Amino acid sequence: LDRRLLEKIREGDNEAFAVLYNNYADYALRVAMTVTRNKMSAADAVQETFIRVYRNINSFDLEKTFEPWFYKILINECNRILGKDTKTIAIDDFIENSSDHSKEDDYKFEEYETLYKAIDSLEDMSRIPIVLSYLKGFKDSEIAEILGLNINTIKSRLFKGRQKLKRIIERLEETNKGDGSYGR
Amino acid sequence: MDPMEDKKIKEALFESTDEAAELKDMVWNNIRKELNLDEGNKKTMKSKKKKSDIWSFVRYGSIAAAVAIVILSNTEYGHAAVDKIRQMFAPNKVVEQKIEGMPTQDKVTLKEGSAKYIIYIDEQIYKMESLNGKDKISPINKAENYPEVYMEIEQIKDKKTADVIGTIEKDLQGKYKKVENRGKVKDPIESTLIYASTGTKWNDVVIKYYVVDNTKGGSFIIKQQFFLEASEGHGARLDNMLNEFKIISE
Repeated sequence: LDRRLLEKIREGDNEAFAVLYNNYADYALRVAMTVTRNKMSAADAVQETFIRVYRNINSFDLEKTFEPWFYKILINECNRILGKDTKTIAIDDFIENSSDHSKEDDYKFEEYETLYKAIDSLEDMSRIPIVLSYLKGFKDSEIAEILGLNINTIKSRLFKGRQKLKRIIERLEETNKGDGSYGR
Repeated sequence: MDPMEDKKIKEALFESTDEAAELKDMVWNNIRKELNLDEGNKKTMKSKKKKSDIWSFVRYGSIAAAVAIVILSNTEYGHAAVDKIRQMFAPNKVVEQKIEGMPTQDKVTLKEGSAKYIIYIDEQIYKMESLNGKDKISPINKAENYPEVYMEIEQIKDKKTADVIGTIEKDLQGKYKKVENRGKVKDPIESTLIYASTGTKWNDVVIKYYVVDNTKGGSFIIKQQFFLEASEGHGARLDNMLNEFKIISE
């Protein structure tokens, strides 16, 4: 389906581009928000991503899967936006680092939304693969392609991220045991 | 992690990002406008009328622009690195900012400069030239009999910012009526600002140096020159460019 759509877009069919937008925008906005932590930044990133897709559609290899290419651009746009306030961006911003700088939040978990805060508290290196995995359902290999990283690195980061979330969920459940507030 | 926990994570991600998903229509409208989809003019950029008089020369600077300057600190400036930069940054984008209360839009283009620089530049207004390891961004339309307007960017790999600042201050002393080390600034870029001017007349020259730590023991020297009357024009515009200054390191 994507291939046919992409061919039409290449031919200048703007309606096909609208369909593509309709198919991808919702998830793209959600992923971008979790990466940038800001809905307006997410909107900016998604807007620039679709503009880039439109303008560079001829450079995309139709033999390949569109979605990883699309999300690679999206993540790069998110990073670009996040980097606005910093003077340095590492090209490979995901250098494997065994040390764990992030702290698990000490939020008093009262509501369902605090789980999102827990996800949000993860370091980017774990958070972004987690988001791509859970929100969009990408396979490990696809996440590796999107982030330009080795699949084993992705597996490792997903594992660490999940372990951390698991501990947080357990704490959530202990905290809310009996009052039924979690998971509503 | 068991399926129930997976489900909770997924649901939390969904519920917490609804507010972004609600922006779908707004984003689409912006895209349609940017790409002129309704006009069937899908890939043509809007042309901007160029003014040639001195006042437009001055005012050009007050139109918003952004230039993301990407500097590769790696000594091997290979195609792979350039390709990565191109993946990371849009080849073209529209920058919107309010200047003097008026929203303006500029299209900027990712360009590969010489000597390990890649920049976004509004090619309708500015050009970039490279000479002796420096990149110089200056207005295309130059007015005669007015002080030159430009911004130069140079990397000094073997000098720390403190050393560079001292050298600049020494060089400026005596040449300019006013020389001030304004210390560390965060806006438009995290740096040390050295300001100098020849006086207070409209055509007196203003020099601003932003000395930036290159994070590798060296410095970037960003020198701006314009004249007092152009402070709100090119002066502001050159600063706007620096809002997106980036150092890319591998």
